[in-house]
Amino acid sequence: MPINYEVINPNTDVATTKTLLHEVIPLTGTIVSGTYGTFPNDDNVKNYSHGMFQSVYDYPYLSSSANHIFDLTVGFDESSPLSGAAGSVQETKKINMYNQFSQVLLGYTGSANTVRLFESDLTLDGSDPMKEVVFVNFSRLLTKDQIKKGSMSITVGTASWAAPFAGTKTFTDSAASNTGGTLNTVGGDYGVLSSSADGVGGIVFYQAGMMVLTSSIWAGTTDFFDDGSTQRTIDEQLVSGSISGSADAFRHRMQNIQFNNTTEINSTVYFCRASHNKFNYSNNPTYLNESTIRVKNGNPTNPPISYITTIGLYNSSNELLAVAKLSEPLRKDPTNELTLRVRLDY
Amino acid sequence: MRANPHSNFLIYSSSVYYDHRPIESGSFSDDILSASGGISLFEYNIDKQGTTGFDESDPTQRTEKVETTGLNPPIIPYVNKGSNKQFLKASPRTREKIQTVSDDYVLMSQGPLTGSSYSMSASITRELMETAGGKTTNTVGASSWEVPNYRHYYSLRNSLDFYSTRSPHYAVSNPDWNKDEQDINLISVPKIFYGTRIKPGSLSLKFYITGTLVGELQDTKYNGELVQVGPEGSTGSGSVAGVAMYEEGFVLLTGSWDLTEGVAYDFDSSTTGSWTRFACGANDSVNCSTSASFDFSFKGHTETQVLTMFAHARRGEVNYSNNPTFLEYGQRKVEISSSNLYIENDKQKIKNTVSSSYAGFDAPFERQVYISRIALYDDDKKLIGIATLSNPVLKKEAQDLSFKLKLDI
Repeated sequence: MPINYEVINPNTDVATTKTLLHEVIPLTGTIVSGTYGTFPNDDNVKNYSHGMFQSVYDYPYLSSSANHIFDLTVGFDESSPLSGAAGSVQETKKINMYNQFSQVLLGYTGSANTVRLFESDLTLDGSDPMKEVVFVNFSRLLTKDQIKKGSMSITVGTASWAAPFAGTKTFTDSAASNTGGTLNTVGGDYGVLSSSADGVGGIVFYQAGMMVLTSSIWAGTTDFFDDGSTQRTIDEQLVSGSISGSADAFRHRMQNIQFNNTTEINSTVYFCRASHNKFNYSNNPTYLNESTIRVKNGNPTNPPISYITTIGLYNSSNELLAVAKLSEPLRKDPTNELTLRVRLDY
Repeated sequence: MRANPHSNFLIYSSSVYYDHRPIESGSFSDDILSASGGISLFEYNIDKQGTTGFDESDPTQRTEKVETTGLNPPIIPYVNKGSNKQFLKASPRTREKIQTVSDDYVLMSQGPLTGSSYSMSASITRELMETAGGKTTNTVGASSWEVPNYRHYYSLRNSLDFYSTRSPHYAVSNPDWNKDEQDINLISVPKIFYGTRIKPGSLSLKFYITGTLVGELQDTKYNGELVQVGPEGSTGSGSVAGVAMYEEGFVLLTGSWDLTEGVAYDFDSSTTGSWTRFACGANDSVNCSTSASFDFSFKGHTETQVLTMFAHARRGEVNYSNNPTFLEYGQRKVEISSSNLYIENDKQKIKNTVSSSYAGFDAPFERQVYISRIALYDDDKKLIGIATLSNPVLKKEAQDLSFKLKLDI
């Protein structure tokens, strides 16, 4: 129980700060196809009976150690040339999937409240729509508060099914940053994934942790999908293939995804000031020896010395609220003054 | 809410097994969690292989240009150094005669980033301190000073004496012994395993040779003394082989009697199996005889503050839903909408969700809702929490319902 309390002035002794912690998230194609089990029936890939999307884990999902890393699905808008094509499989689900994501991420427009389409630029003016897309929905475990703008990079194989990485395309959001290069929508900020050689490959929603890739990335690939008996372009696959089959084909062609995430940590810093003539005494029972201050070594003229190990924060009723421990005791005597920063993260 | 989490560590052949969990090997790593015998913080980097780092061409001006190697490189954390003195956990410190602190982060200039690594893990650690109080004299020029050989022991000496009121066996020295001159086997238990303190009376240390129990210690007196309780008639049975520091999470073993009845086994610096060789191989970089195995278990003590709230849905209240499907499908929502008027349709019918017991018969309408979630708001009507029910609860107009909400802090 302290005898005296040092009052903290909220105007001069308290500050709030925000810290951004980041993590580098490298996701290689190795773990999404072929490492755990035999492609396409990998043990770390979960398909559902509803068939609307596929979940990818970083380890066989039956292990309690596995972490969910992203979901994959495909879709197209009902105004797409693929809509209504003969022999289509899961067409309604693909259209619904597109509509759902566009509603949540882009919202509605116009007097008729029509759903917006994903676009390959930052204008949302209806030009350059991406009507046939692959959705990569990253786990919140990986994206945390948001994907760091300007850090997203994806490399996909565009060559033949047998050797997909004989030709690759890499798209980055290098134009995006905290100061520009993004557009704010109902789903948060988004930036454009592009490369100087291959143009626009899609867009990335930073807060939502969502990547939307246009099917035109594989426009020149004649065997985007190949199950040994049937070869399909991506458009053919989006029409005639199942969603999970298209997700499998994407996994087969994913070489690398890398981004940095961001976690915001809010802090309050309390500056605890120990002036030269205060806190030079201790209530520790060992501080006294036969009623004399032990550290004076029997000479009353020696200055008192204390070693600060702990700082207690009390409320206005002098009730202890929190305790801060120093990593090592700090010497305090009348010849020095200390200001100790106590940081409270939340 | 008080809880007593149980922990068990099995030590065999220089490996530690926590709560009998096997060490799982994956496609890239022999230990997918990289936390053999313990807990991995976040359990993030599973079965990783390779490295992730930053362009190190100029360490003082690292940029976010990431460089990776291997087929499955790990996730790493980093921060950009700003002017706000926020940083990751302090980097290794160097200590000399006068304590100095060398913090890489502090020495960095502002602007560049600094990284760290996962996995961060916790497990028990064993440290054999032979002649625990020993010191080494360091000499530089004309000055010389003594440095303790085992700093961990010296940091515990005061606490040991403090607890001597609990049991005389804690005392560093008395007429029968001087711990400074003894070999002490220190077993450190990280706080994450036990919480506030190890529960007195819950400790059990078992020493096996070729699968046969040759000695067991328990704190049967609840005072920290570790008494050999078995097997019956074993060497040293009934003797105190060490003490436990419940609050600090340490076990100090000094019992030096031979538990292996003269049979020699390799316990690194000794061939005698005594309590000072207990847990040999537990993260101590020592290889011991594969004939020996050790079991170390205890209960912890945790206290969690729980806030209990009651949310009342009284009769006549909470009988309406904003869910669009609460109303019958196909009704006009807006009665009139013009440049001067906007009138909603106030005659919209509520969908009758009352279940009928008979086919082809609609039960009479009743006002009822299914409550699936309870939201908590502050004084400013800002949403601060949501409690979701495991199953929706039917609330009829004439019913009173109370929901008990518990928030662990």
